[in-house]
Amino acid sequence: MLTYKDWTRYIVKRLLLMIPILLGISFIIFSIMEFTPGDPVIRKLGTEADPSAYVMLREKWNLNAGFLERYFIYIKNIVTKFDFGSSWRTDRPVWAEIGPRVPVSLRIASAGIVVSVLFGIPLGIFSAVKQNTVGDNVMRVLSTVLVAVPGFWLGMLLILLFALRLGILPVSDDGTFRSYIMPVLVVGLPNGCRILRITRSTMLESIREDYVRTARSKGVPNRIVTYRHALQNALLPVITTVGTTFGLALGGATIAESVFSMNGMGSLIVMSVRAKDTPTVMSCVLVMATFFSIVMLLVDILMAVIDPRVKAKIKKG
Amino acid sequence: MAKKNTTNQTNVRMSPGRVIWRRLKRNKSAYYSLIFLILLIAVAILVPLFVDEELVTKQDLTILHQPPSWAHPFGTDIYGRDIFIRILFGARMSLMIGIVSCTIGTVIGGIIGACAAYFGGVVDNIIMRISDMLQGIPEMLMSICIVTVFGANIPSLIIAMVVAIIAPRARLVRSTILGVSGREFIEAAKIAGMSDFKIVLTQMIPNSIGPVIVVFTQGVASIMLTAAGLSYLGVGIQPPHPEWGALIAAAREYLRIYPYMCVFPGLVITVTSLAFNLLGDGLRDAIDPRLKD
Repeated sequence: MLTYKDWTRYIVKRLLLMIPILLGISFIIFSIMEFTPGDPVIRKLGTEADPSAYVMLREKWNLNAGFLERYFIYIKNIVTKFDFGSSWRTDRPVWAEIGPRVPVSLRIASAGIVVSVLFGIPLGIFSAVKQNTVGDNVMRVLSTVLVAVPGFWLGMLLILLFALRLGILPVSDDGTFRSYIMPVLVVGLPNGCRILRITRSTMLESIREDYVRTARSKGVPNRIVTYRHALQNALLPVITTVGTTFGLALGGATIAESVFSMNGMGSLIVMSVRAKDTPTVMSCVLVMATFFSIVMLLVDILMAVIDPRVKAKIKKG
Repeated sequence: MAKKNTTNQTNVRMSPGRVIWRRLKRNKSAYYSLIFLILLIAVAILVPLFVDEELVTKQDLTILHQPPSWAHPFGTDIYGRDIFIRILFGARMSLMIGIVSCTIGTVIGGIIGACAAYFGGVVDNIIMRISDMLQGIPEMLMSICIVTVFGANIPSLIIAMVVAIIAPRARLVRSTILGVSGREFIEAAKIAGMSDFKIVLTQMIPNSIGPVIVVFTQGVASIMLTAAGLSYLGVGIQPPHPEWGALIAAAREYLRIYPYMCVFPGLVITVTSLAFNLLGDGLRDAIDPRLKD
């Protein structure tokens, strides 16, 4: 058993490990914004701007300082003052820009993941247990096709069916939860099918393992063999996949937002990168990456709860 | 007796490539997917010889937004351009982006992963930590940043896709090589006095290339989908270029009145990426029959 102290030590260690990763990510994005063509001042003022205004703005944004120096100042401001700076594009604080948009993207991505897990795992188990029946074949064809469908096209087909033909769902954001149904499906369906396929194949593999055959030959009832012995081991790789799928879901959310014209992070990032608005781009990526790493941490904790081998590793430190 | 045994064995033994090919041929969906993809690539390469490239962008006011017919199987768009012809030329861009960036990314990622596995220690650690960072950024965000700053053209799209797949490929190759290098036949080859270089060439690579090939085919499909998504977001290839994602993006405004304009390009993307995925599944089963469901 893991004590309360073991858990705290493990979680603190993992949270500390997130720091170098987030630092690395911020450095990568900062370099991309720095060393690629396009002058943020010209993007802001236009090409025929007054030279003195140009010089002033460069001064204000501290662009005359060196690359590394500016990167350190940026990180220092975050660490010491929790100050992410102001958007170069709109001059408002970055938080005011991002604040209202983060919940939209996160809601779509997380609800999408929940939906995909809720149908992906049970149907995957069903498909494996009833291998080669009609149900399994239908599931296999459907999931293979849905994984291959581009998300934005799926969104347009959903609009065509539910909004334009049947008229039961709004085409774009109307402020109610009903406007989230189709975006969540756009994220949830393909990712759910990905999870279904993985659940099916790991389940099939574990059904054939020796310990499952042993349990069966000992006379353990079929249901218990399937849902305890086989499933418990089959779920481990599935849980890891759900974690990495969250990254895909965040990307899928940007697409879904665009299809259903919702104001999430996707459109903000596109606008900000176009304007070479480094503070906003940095914060967007850092926010998304932080959520992604927290989800990965939750996944690892869940793994430790389920898998005694992982538990033993944590115990050792 | 002993002699008979050996001749028998040489008759039964085929090269691994032939065995895999025979197993793949028995898998109907993978086999037909392969034929479909070969035909599609051939069409994409040869289409300028048979169809005038001008038709892709030339507007014809006499045939505006016509629904599908024999003359125009997928209909025409709001400028009177044949959607079927645009899709054929679009295949050149979409397939090229998918195949070229997947190849470059797999080769670079493979070399980096092999270095990590071969040198181990500090080198391995540095490479893995950098790939942790790269994989911590949601792929789509990274691609949006790269494509937007380098401009909406094919080379920058390829750069973005290559960057997106380098880290996962490096990881895959590293773990496959580490898995192979501990196996008994490598040990046996060493004891038999084979040189390191020959071991890598004749033992390591043939035994670890399987998963890489499988992931390669599936990677082409997912790259095509991502690239089309970028075009749809308005940061990738832009209309009037007939890239498949751009075709759908251009049809978005007319979804209500002319739904066929977006349905056909979407179907083509779906079928193509489906074919790559099925081929990948078939290859996986053929290379490692233990995993066959």
